[in-house]
Amino acid sequence: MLRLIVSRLAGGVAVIVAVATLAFFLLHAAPGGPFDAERALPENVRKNVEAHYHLDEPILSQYARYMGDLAHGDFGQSIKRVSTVSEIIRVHFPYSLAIGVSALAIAITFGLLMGVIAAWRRNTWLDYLLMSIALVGISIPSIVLGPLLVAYFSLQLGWLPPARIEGLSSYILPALVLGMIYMGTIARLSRGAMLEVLSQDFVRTARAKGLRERVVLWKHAARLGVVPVVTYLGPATATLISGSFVVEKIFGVPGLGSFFIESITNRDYPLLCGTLVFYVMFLVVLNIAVDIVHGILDPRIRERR
Amino acid sequence: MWRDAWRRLRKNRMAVVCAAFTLAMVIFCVAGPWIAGLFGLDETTIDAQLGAVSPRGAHWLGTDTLGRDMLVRCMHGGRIALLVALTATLVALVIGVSWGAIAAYAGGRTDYVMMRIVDVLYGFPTLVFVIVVMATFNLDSLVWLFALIGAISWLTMARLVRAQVMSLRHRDFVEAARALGARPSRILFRHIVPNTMGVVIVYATLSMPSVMLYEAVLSYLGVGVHAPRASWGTLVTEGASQIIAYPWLLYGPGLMMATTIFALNFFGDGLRDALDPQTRKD
Amino acid sequence: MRLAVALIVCASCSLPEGDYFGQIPDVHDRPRTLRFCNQGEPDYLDPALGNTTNATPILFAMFDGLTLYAPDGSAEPSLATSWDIAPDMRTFTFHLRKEGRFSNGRAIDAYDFAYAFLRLLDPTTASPISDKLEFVKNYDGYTGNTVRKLLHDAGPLKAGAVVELVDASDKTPDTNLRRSTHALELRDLGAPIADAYAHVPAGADVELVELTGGPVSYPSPAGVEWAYVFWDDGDGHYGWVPSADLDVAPNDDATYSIRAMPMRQWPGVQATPEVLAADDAAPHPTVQVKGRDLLRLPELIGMRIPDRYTFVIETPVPIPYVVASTPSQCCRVTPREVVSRWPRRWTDASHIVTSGPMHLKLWLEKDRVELVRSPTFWNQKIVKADEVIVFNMDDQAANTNYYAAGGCDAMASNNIPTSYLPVMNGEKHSYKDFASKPYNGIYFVYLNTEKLTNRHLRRALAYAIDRRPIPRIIHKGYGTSQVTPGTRISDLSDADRATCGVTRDQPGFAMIEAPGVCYVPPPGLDFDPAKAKEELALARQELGADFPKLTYRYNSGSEGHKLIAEYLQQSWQQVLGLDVGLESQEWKTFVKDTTDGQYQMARFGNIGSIADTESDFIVLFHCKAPSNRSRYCSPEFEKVYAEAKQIFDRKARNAKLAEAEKIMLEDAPVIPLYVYTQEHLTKPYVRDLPINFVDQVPLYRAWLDPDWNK
Repeated sequence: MLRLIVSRLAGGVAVIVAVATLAFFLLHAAPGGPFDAERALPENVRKNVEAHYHLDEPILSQYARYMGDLAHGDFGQSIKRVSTVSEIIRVHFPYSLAIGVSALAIAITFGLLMGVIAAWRRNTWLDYLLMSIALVGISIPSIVLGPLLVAYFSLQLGWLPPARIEGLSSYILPALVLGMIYMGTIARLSRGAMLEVLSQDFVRTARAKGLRERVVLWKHAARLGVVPVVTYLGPATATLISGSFVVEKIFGVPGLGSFFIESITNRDYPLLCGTLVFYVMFLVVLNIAVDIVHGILDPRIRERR
Repeated sequence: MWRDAWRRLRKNRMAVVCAAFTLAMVIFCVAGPWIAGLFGLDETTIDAQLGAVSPRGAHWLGTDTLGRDMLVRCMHGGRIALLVALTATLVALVIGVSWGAIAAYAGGRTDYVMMRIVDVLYGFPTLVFVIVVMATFNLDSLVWLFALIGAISWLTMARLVRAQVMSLRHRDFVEAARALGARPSRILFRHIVPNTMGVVIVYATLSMPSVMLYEAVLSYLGVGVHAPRASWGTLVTEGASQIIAYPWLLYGPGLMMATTIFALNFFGDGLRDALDPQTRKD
Repeated sequence: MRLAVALIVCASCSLPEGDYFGQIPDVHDRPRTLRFCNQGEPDYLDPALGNTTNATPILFAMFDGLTLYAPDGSAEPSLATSWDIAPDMRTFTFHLRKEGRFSNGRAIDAYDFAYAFLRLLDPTTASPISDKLEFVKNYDGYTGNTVRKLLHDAGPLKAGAVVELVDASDKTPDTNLRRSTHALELRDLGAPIADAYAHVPAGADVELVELTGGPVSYPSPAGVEWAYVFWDDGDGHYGWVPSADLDVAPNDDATYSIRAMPMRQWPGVQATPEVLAADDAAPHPTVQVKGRDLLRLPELIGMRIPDRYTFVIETPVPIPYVVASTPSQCCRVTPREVVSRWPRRWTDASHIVTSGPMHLKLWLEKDRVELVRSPTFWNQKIVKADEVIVFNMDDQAANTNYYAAGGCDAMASNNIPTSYLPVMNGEKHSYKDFASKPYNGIYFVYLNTEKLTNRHLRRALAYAIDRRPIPRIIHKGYGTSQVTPGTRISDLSDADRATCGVTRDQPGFAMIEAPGVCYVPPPGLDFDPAKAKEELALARQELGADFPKLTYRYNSGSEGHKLIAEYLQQSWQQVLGLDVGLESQEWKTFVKDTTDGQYQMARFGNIGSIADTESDFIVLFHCKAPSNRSRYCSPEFEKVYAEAKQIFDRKARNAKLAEAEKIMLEDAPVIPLYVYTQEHLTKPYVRDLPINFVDQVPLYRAWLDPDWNK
């Protein structure tokens, strides 16, 4: 187990370096720089500001400088903001994390419940109802659901704040909007996997042994039925907690997602690379966690490692 | 096997209804604009004096701010959206399934490297890549649209299939095939992969809405569909920003997209059931 | 699904039918706290760096200047009590009051304005808005690091001459580079070593920025000359040291080619226009000198300090809009002692020292800025707010919804999603707290004259557009064929109409630039299908087989740009039978391509920071202007434009400028489409938060009347 983790972490470092490198060169290849604006800068001024951020150096030396800083754990200085990239992550990640975790909680709880019950009552009205709810969740995009919920719950009923984080109640709508898609996906994935598990021999054996249906369903079958859900959750969690641009925008939440998108439109090279590296770090760790959980849930997966 | 599946599929009423609905939608989107043309309605004709009107008379779904008929725009938009969904599904099926299956079956170093590549692609800043591609090559054809959509749609699929295959590869029927001396590729693609189809079909149909909306993002960046043409993705995105004043701009494309996704998903369930080798035994 | 349908139905009826948009909270508990929904996140809270309309309302509340924006948007005396403008319109003398204080208690004097100018122009600041001072002498030389003071006689040039480095500055070792054989202790001017806040190791490079004793610098303490230096250690430090400490000048022996600057660029020089013209024409030979003969010093900038409370601005040519520009970021005072210690981070709430009506309490990025009344501000009577909270959400709908729920009391202009506008200001119903007013901005299409070289083709494209439906399509603005925005002549007051010399029934717009000064733009090429076809026929005749395939570009992200593009495409198709392709591009790519001239036709907008067509609108078509995206270079236009620049009388000058604009419009390097309007939401209890043409909202003047409805 330890060997697995160490080797995967080493791979993770390689992945991070690869992503940072790709992001660095891609964004530099993108046309325009941080200081291109509607009103063009006079040539002198442009030279001054570019020199200030070392943007006038050859690209490879900029790259070396950036990777050197990164190796020391320094994400660098945002080009278009006063803060350093580390400060931005430290101050704004908690918002994304809070919304992401709430959304995940909603998605996993209701998604799994719906999926397992639907599989158990397969092709009955209950199955169709639950799956329809799941489909509503995935087929109404955030950009539609967000404004609708705000219009109804905030403007019409006045129950929940329409924007900004001003207390616990402010997290409800963003988490709901963000969680719906994941809830729907988890429900559908777990139903599909459960159906397969339920028809396997060991479930029949368990049933034949006279074990109670609830025990069979939740203790034996669900354990394997969640394998695809766990797989899906690795990257999904990384995406969720590193900030959703759309939801942050709709609700005026100062999370990391909006900084990520802004870094692209601003050509803020250090900010883009920094937020991306931060996200990939999560991705790597979560994928390792996923593989470990797989092994626990389904010992057959482990065997040949 | 395929004939059996077909028989079981036909028996599933829900699946048949959904398949019929999807087919109808395809025909509607392909032939609809031509029929509407006979009545003098087309996608791009602007009537600025008319402006946005709610559904009435000749305009069943109303018109947009430039006075264009929404129904015809939705039909045209459907063509792109359906094509995009089809592409994404195909790519996810072909690349995603083989990638995941091969990685899991080969195991060891091959698996390790293949999955790290997937990790890198997860972190790959697609948006930036699109900006660069657009600026460098200015290849704004639909081919690029499909390539880009395909490129992102197979990653999660690969991971899902890998996990399934790892769980399946030591099951009895696989060991049996191996004992009979079947070649690895045959074992993998004839015995193991068909058993992952449940998850594969479910996930493929699930990712359609996000793929359709991703197409809208790409269109804004200049890839794919150009104004004045539209797709469901762009229509829904724009409609969402207009719900306060002109809600019908969201109704039409939103309902068409949602019902199609519903139908495809329930059809997917039927297909899954029909292909499920376990249920086959019943 | 049923839930979704229910929600959709509710959404469409969710805008309330009442007199006001959304809730009106009870504000008895906070009558002196304004909550303001800004357009988005400010980029910097430093007046030398903040460059967006999101930053300016906050900056202008935090920092005082020569003048402030009056409620009507004009310049109103603040730290300057009065000013004299020389008859030749090249020297502007501001008399300062003695009561000005920074929030740390230090008195504000003319040296602080000299420092504000220095900060904006000094290359070590890397200010992106230094062009706010484009009009002062040696603006180009200072930002470009090419202007120097000659310290010793060299050939025909006398010591003290203002000279220009001839070889490119970035290849030349810097004359201001200094080192010390021992450690340097950076401190405030005249402070003992014990008070030093930064220690430069021996042998490290520093940049000499300023020396005491010069015409715009502090007098030398106790007769000893001190130097103000910049040490670039990451974020950097500035500080004073006795200049004797800078005992190494690495480039003293390096050789430089210089020549004298034209005399009109010499600050402090008194000369008649004839003498200046003669000097312009005279030859300026190149001379070789050593590094020790040259220094870049702030006294080379067009400013002078005759005494501690008098500040003089000098321009090389007559400039009518200097005073009008003074409330902008150019002339706001910042505390040197704090900027020196933390050049990048001095605006952190823990460090900041302000000079204006409000002081910074908190800045949480992408969420809010909290300002509180500054007890040290000299003019407390104009400050009605004790506290101003500025919410900086980027999304328009989020802002508007937040306003509706009573979260903020007023919204910045153009912060309402266009889709809300027909409901807010519709034919059937409009809210009392909604206002739509003229705005100092314009939306147009640039035609790249290097790609669309045929004048007839450009004119055909311009004549083919009917602007009347545009306000209907985007729910705001007024169609126009002129390139200078303004107020609709029919909406002007009688007095203003008299100033402009127009009659009520005259179509078009007029811009009131200053009391008694009006600019009436000439009519452009308005919709005329017959003429459009005529011009197209001529173009086809001239171009023959070279008739180009046309494409129109717009930037993605705004529904309005796309609708306009589709409308234009259809118009060209219907009137001219031309198939024009549409291309949408991501913003930065779009900016880059249009700046580089890689486009045929592209949408653009321009918003003026002051009401002056010369500085903000006509200049876009001046051959050498950095923002000249249509690459328009007409000798005829340039001649009239240059003539206008020499006229002192503003009325005559404006008449000449209108002549230039007319020439330009006839050549059609641009198709003006509509004049912007500004849309505001302001709760009924808000008092003294005016809406003005240049959209400069003095937040600190506002207060709330909780008993508004009694």
